[in-house]
Amino acid sequence: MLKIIFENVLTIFLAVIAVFFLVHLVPGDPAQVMLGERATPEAIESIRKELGLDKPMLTQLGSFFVRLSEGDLGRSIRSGHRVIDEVKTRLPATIELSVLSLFIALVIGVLLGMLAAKKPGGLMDLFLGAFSVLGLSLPIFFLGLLLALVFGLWLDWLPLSGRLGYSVSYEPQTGFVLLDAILYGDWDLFKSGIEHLILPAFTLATVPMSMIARLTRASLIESLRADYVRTARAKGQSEWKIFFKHALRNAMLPVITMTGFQFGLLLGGAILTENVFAWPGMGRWLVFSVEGRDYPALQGAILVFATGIVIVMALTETIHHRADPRLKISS
Amino acid sequence: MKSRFALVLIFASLTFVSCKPKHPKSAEGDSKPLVFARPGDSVGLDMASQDEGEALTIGVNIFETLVEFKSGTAELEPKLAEKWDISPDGKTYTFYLRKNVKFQDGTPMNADAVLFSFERQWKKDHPAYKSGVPYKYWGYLSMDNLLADIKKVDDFTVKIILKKPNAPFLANIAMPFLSIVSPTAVLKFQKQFDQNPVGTGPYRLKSWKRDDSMELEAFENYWGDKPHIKRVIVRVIPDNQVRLLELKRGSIQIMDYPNPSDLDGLKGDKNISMLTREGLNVGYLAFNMKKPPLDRLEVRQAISYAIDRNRILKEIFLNYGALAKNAIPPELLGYDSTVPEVQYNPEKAKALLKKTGLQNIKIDLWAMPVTRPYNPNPRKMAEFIQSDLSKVGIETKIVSFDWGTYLDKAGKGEHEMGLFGWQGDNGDPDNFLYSFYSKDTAMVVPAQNFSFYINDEVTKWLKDAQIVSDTKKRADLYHKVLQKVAVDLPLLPIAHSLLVVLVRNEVEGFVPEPIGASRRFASVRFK
Repeated sequence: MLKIIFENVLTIFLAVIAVFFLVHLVPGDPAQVMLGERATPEAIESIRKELGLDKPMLTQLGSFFVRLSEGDLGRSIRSGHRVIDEVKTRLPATIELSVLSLFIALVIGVLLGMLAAKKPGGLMDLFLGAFSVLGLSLPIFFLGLLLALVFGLWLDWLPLSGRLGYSVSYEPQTGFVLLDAILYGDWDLFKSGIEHLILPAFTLATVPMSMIARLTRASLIESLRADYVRTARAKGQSEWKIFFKHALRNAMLPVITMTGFQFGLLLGGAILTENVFAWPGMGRWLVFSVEGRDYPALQGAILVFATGIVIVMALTETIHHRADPRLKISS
Repeated sequence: MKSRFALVLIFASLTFVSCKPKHPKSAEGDSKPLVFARPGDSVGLDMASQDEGEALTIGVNIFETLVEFKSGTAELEPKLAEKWDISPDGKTYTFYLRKNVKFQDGTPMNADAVLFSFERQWKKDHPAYKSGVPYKYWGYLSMDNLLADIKKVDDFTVKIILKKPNAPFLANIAMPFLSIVSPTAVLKFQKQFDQNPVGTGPYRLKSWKRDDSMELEAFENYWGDKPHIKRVIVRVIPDNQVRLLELKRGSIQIMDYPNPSDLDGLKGDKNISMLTREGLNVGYLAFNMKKPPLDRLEVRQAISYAIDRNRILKEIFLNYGALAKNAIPPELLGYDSTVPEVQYNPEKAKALLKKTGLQNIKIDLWAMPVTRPYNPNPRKMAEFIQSDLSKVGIETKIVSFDWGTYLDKAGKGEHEMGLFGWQGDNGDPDNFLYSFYSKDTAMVVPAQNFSFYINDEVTKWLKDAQIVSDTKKRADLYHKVLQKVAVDLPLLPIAHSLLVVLVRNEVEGFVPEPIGASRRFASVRFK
């Protein structure tokens, strides 16, 4: 266990160092970007000094780690606010979106995969084939816009963009709207939150959903042909039981692993989705930080993302171990 | 068990919501809010430390300056100062402040507050200096080199003494960075003042959800005409098309920065009006005169004749702009309509090139990677220029870096020929021409004179125009500059873009402002 924690912390540590050097190696100076066309030598000099950018790079890295050990991520160059506060206000929105997307992807993906695997070459299978090709190839921003147009403007069923309607008041407690709504027992808040969440979450879910559905189908078809299924049939077990207990359980193992990997991709997709649906999360902030060479903000964001991915991977591994008793014995 | 329950709950509500045919419109009652949408959030709202457009957009509703730009124009009018005198030597300005003006925190606006608002940015030992540092505009305009002293004469009179006469001074202090702020609030909030702004304007900030929305509320003790609409919601919707969908749906009333290509489709829409205003900006092509063959006048002329600027205006600005004759927009002092204009004439370009005897000319053409107010599509513009130049035998390679690198390298003069531009800050010609053409801005790193045009005579005229207060004399000096550069051609002005704001017809009274990115809500009302 200790070894796993150590390995994960080391991964994060290395990721942070790599990012530090990457962002500093890219030409262009934050002071210059800030000042734009108006940059004068004096202005650049004074801003560099103000931000500590005039110090050697290793000193900057050193002070970053010293601050980090005190739980401080530094101050954003663009806004002058503490990076930790900037992250705190945006991270819950991204997590809320990603988790719901993953949930939708998993539920619908597995369901579609199962239906398709039940009768390979059948109508449902063909539908899945078409659906997953579309899901994988439609650019997220295009799909997002299409959904916004159809469900937001034409049908007028759902809000087009944003995280909450302006008529509901919201004082963030945890920062997760749905969770806060449940804690406060505020039904209006919950309703507005979920209404705003559906379109972006569905958009973001399409890619992982397609992949999960395809993998479930392939893996399930393989399981259904396996010896243990034949044995179970020979023993006279019901089709229902064979399908769920023997075939599906085994077929889920690769799906669990892939879902863990999908989380990282999901965060990437979140940047695009957040942009289309005006979702106030980490994605857009990250893009601005890259453009503005906002080193502290970037380092903070990468640290958070790296930690998130490491945690999810560790979780995936745990679930995998639970689902597959063979792994437990071997480890 | 609990987690299963939560999952079921989420799933149930998903099903419930998605089955519902219509989502209910909010109960709005009497105080129907005005909803304005823009592509990005403000970083902060302390006008002294911010320079990005989205800060100014909102800031002008919360704060006021001594002198202000008259709505819809670049002309100056009294605001917190009722009137002012200028001493005969042009160095002392006496401002007589408006009485009975309160800040949104209830404290009075007086001479002390004016001194505080200036000195906080100026004096490093001021108790509030750290609250907003770095003070960007204070630096851009070299206010340290300009101001000699600021004095309180009595509670409502302030004297500002300059080191030397400076013609753009009044225009400079009308800029939002010299907004008069509540000293009590700045001292209370310090660095957090930019999230808790307190000024004397018609609206105060009520709440702010980062990257999502802001709520402004009419300030009940505002000294001037009270705003018609009590509540303004400012939403951030980054995608231009989604913002337009929201406008069509009626969930927002005013939207900034539509895609030019979407505008034609709106012409038949009875619910939406398109408001336009000439923007105070210019996009241009700079020739780096330090790099051969661009040091030769004939080559610069040939390139200028070879470029079909009308096509650029039509295809890239989609006609939402005007061809630039000078490097300043026509509304500004000193604009000279008599300068010889370069007309599209590829034959003449070829003849000029032949005269130089140069063959196989190859030039790098730099195109910025980002859309700017003065250039909606730099990459495409560069491609147009490339194809035009290839017709007269000049081969160009389009070069682009990310924005930071682009500015960095161009500031060091590494480019040959490049697309640049300027969005005016204060409606003064000095704000444009001194950067573009003076020797001083070419001799420093980073340079702002991206042509590296060095001409002592032009520099002298530009410097004289900074100190002459007589408008006529100033205009004459700028005419001279513009006539001279029209001959020397260090840069080719391309176009001034048009500012377009879309407004739903249920509201009226919105006036697009030419200066910066300010959007004023106090005059807007529901029909």
